[in-house]
Amino acid sequence: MTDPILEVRDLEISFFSGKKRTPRTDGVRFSLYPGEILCLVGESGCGKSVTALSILGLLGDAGRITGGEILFDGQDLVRLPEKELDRVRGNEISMIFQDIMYSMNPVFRIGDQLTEGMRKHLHMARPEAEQRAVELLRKTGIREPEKAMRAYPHQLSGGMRQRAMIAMAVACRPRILIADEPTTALDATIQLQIMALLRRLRDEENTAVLLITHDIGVVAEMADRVVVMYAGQCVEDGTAESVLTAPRHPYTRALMRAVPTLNMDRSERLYSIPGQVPEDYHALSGCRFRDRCPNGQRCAGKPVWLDLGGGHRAYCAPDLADGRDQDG
Amino acid sequence: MQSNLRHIARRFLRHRAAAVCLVILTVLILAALLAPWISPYGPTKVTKDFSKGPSAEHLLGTDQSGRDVLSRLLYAMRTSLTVGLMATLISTAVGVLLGLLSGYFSGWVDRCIMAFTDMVMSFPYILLVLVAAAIFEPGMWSIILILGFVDWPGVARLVRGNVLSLRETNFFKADIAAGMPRRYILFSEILPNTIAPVLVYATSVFAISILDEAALSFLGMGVLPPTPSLGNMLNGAQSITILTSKPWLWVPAGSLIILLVVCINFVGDALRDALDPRNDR
Repeated sequence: MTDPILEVRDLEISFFSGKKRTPRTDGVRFSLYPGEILCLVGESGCGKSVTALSILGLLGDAGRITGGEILFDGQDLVRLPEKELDRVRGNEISMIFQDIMYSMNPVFRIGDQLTEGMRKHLHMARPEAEQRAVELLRKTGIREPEKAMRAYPHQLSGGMRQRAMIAMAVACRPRILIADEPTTALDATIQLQIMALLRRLRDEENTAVLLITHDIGVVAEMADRVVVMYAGQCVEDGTAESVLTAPRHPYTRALMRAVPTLNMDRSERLYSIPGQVPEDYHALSGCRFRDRCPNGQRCAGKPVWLDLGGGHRAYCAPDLADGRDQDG
Repeated sequence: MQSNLRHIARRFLRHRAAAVCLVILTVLILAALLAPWISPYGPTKVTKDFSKGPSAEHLLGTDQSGRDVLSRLLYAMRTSLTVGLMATLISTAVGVLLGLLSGYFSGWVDRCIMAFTDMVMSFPYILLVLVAAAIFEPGMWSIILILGFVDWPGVARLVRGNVLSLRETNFFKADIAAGMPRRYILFSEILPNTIAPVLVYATSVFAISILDEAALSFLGMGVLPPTPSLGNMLNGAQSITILTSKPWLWVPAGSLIILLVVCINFVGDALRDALDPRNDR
């Protein structure tokens, strides 16, 4: 395989209130390769969005990266000054957000918002940028792109707005597109279309996509590789096929059991993982999933990274009962 | 944009009173602008009649120096509207700038600006104006500067609050994620989003400035005679004989102030509803 385009190493993000420091993530690590779709999956509050925001330095006032590095092309984005980061943002790495209502400036037309990035990063003249904007909107499946160019965000439907957002995000042909739950606010049909659009983008432009989701269905549909996060840590990663067919970490297994299927018996209750993410998980030593883990009672081991072959790894206690995990 | 303006106009016209007020205001502003052409006499021209009541020659009578009250009223309106407008422009500009900076740069910049704002706000308003008027040479421009300086804190707080809430929105994050320069985000993305509330607030500042000018000039600390202003035309009403026996010297000027202020406030109210798209039914 080629070199990764983005490499996150032992990322630690902390939030501060006053003098009190609360780590939100630690030990987040994954690599993103050109032209692949990598899904970051986990339940709400596990730190996936925060990780995504931190890549572009969008944590805001309360949060800060307190450890680790984010290597883009060998360059550490964590230590890059704002000015130089601005050259990466939008140009090399761009992002689409979950909230479609306020992701665009309500007082400007779609056309103006679409072209501003191209004019800044690609130094295009207005007519040229406008032409490309129309083309982009058409590509994303908006039927009357000229009309959409003149519309204000509130005049578009949710699906249209997310398409326009994607058009905006890919306008400068970024090498990485970060999509933070891009379809959570949309209905199932639109969701499929948006996902198909993201996949087409990857196929046509060889853009690497970091897709953040809590939906295992989306992962099965989209991902080349998967990173599973729990309580601020990565707990399992590998190719989508191997993680989905042979999940090693009990949390990944539980996530997959919690997906409803059509041929399910209605009287049967959908599985849900007992308990909640522990609130002060950063203070726990050892396995953070222990209290919710089905093997929690029996398990006494400390978690370590288990190599399961083919790039598939899990952060779990070696299974002492059958002893097969470590010696393969 | 065209359709947007049409929406705004339609929502505005739903307020009948405001529509009427807008017409009155337009007429008054036109009259003030056209004063040199439509006023029967010059503002300081002394005629042979002194303190005469209204007549065919002098529709609103003459004052103690024999000047035509109607002509002076027209010119006075010019002065008052100029003072109101300029003071509003200054205070809005200062307020918007400080509000933007304060909301955008949190931390010590914000704390400093807000402390300064609170300081200006907590000063007894009229006292500050009186002291300033006493120190600086009275006149139209010092009035404008004084009023411009004391009226901005409200605007600054309004804008700051707006910026703070806009900072939490995703389009702000999206702008940063798109690598837009901070100056561009602040002035080209955030500022247009605060225009509507600022515009509405500015109308009330406009009305208040006219009132304040009148008050100061009435006390003899504002626009100085012989330049007419609505306030210094009321000055004569300080004497009891004028107040009781020569109403044409103060009733028109007083009514005009009321009319201007009421109309501006009504228009401002309607503007607030008109600029809010949620009011569209």
